[in-house]
Amino acid sequence: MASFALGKYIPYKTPIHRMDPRVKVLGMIFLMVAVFFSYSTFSMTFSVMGAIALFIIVIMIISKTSFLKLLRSLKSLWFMIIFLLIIYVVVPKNDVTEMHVAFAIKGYNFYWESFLDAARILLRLVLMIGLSMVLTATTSPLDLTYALEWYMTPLKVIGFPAHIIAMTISLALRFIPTILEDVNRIMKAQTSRGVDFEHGGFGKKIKAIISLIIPLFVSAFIRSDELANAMECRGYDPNGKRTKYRKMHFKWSDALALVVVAAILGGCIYMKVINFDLFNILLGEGAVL
Amino acid sequence: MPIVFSNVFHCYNPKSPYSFNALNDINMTIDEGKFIAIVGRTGSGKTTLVQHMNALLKPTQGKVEINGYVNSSNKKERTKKIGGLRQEVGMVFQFPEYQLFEETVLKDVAFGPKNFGATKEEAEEAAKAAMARVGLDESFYERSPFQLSGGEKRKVAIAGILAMNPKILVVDEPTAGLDPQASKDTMNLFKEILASGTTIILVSHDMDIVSEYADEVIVMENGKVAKQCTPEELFGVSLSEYSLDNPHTYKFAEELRKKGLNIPTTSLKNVDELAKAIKENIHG
Amino acid sequence: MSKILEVKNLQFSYEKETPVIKDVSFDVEEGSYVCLIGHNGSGKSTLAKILAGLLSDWEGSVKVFGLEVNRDNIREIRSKLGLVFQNPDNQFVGSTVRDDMAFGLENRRIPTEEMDGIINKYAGEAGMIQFLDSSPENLSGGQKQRVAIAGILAINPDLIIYDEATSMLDPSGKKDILSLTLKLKEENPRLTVFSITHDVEEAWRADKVIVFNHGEIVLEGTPTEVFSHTKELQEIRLEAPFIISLINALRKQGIDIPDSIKTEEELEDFLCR
Repeated sequence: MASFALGKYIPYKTPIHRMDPRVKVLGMIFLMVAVFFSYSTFSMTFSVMGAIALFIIVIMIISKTSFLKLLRSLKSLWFMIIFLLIIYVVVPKNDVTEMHVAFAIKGYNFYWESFLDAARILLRLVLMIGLSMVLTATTSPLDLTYALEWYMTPLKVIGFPAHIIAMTISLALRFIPTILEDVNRIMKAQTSRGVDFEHGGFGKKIKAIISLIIPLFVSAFIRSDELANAMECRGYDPNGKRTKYRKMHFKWSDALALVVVAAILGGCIYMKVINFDLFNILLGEGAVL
Repeated sequence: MPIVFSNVFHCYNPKSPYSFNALNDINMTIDEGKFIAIVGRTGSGKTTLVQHMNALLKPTQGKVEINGYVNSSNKKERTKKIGGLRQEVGMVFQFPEYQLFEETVLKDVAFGPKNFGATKEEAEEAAKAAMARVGLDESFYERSPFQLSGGEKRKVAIAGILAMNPKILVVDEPTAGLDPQASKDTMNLFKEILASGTTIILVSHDMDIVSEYADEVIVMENGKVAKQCTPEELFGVSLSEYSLDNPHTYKFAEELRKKGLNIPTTSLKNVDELAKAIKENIHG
Repeated sequence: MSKILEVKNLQFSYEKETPVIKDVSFDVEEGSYVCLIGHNGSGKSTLAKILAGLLSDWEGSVKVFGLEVNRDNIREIRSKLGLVFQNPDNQFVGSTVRDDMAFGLENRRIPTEEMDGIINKYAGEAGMIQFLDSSPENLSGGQKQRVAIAGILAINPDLIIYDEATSMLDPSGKKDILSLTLKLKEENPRLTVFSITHDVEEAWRADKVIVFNHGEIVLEGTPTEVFSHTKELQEIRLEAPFIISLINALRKQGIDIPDSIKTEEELEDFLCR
């Protein structure tokens, strides 16, 4: 659990932390989409992705998001990454017209394009993880919930209970550490009664898990019952009007950030649509890199 | 069967920014057959300390020896099947009623012995005996543990540990949440268990209870044993350096001393002993 | 003085046959500190739930602030009433102290601009100002109960009900909440505190004590009156406060302690005279 760096809020005070969470959510989606475009040539694709990568690196530096953590979360995905790479390198491509043989093993050709393709996928993955890390490291789960609630607000028209869902999520977030503590305590108590959570056959494992799950549920039900009473006494009415303590403020800097990100996405779409090739223009028709 | 700690260190989250030394070089011996209280402020390492006694935790350095079992940081030294230690050192956690899970009380109490290899019949025999010790009669055997009152649930949980016939019983804040009468009953139960030859190790913040029941007190402070002595020795002086409060009886005696009535710092386990001490000194 | 709580001939049972509360009547005056003591399972907590409108189908009359507790009045009653429950964790709604205090204000539709001022003021009063951004897992039980009290103070209550608010706390947490309560009472003499408890030391400091056993009121009066009924209390196995136990023990030793002695200090002075 501790190695899972993705999704942990780190409360620094950087400009990125101070941004409106709604802008951060939208901006991240924009950049993720932008990362997903491929262009007519590999050189073009890698140049654009490189530029976006540079932009994301700058954001990571500003927001003090740790590169080490990015690497560590990649490490936990190593199996998937290797699997992906093998698939890409081994399976021949049909959509690329010109293929260049890199080397051959026992008559089976390996193409440069396959390696480039794999590299492109890997880069995308890294950038996407980097982006979501920036979002979750700079935005408290609660703010994230508020942002999602805001985006869901239009759905209230059709009776979608956005505010109740947001309250449920924030309560879940609040109680995760408490429940983890329960898990820890119950496991230790049952271990003291001779339960072995790590070893033992299937039957013993099942019994061990039951001895954890039942007390955990019992305690969770008691907690939720008491919590509901406490909330009611404190005047909570799920359908009543409430004011908001944490208001999200859309500032000029947020507008600016949104414009920059939108411009990046717009530029990418434009280049894709007109089949723009910078190298073609610079080096003349037919140049191949 | 004494418990011997030799150079025990325990570090949570080692080699990370959150690393925290909960135990710092613990060296001590806890004698058998005594009522031992472990006190100290929250975060002083009490809970970490006792969890080394039944190998729920492994020292990061050093070793704990109990009745032939060695809970050591060194793999070679460490007893292979250390789980057996948990039968000899029973542990009653805070709010133990949250560990109940079987359909009937009897099954739940028999769960521990069964895990340690007893047959169904043996386990039930042990369970029945343990229930009798905590004062739960036959009518409870087939009831669901979830339909009992809070105090009864706690008795069931304690019986579940006693059924394993531990030679050492560790209890963490056993009276938390109980009303005064149930607290008294619970503490008296531990006194009876002590009389039958079981070592009792009590972790508590409640100094009134500690002074009334303990033979020996271990004061934990910043992961170290700051003091190991009798309650009289400990409570005769001010405990503010350990952020602890003296028991009510000792505090009252201290006030009398300040006002000129010289009450010696002998045992003042309860109001009766205090009254006796006052009587002896008021006219003499 | 007006009556904040009026309970008349209250009866309640979860299942038809076994009544939890049997024909209970009592009043609580405005500005008083009343403790209801009794064992776990004596029906105390059920009473707290009834007062807060969390249960229905009782018999008899229950009035809070002169209003009958029912569906129509409950909103108005709760706007001036705060409850502190037993388990400090299960009433902590926000992910920080600040957010938890804001929760009650949001429910009462306090404008956002006013919230920070209110939160700072009452967090200060409850001694939690330096913990405003702490999350519950980093607070002790006593601190969480302080937050619960701060959240109630923020709505400017006329009545605070403790439902065994200190029973899960360690002795220093208990003392802490008691001294906070006494401080609040001193600062605002109009504030009424109704505490359901089994802490006799707390009851000793109250204005009035009601002893509850098996759903009935057994004794009622000032702490001195109630705790002088040593025999009755022993019968239902309720302990006496330290001072009373000590006086009784001293008398047993043959030291004559006059009835006028009410505090530890008076007793010390008497013994050292």
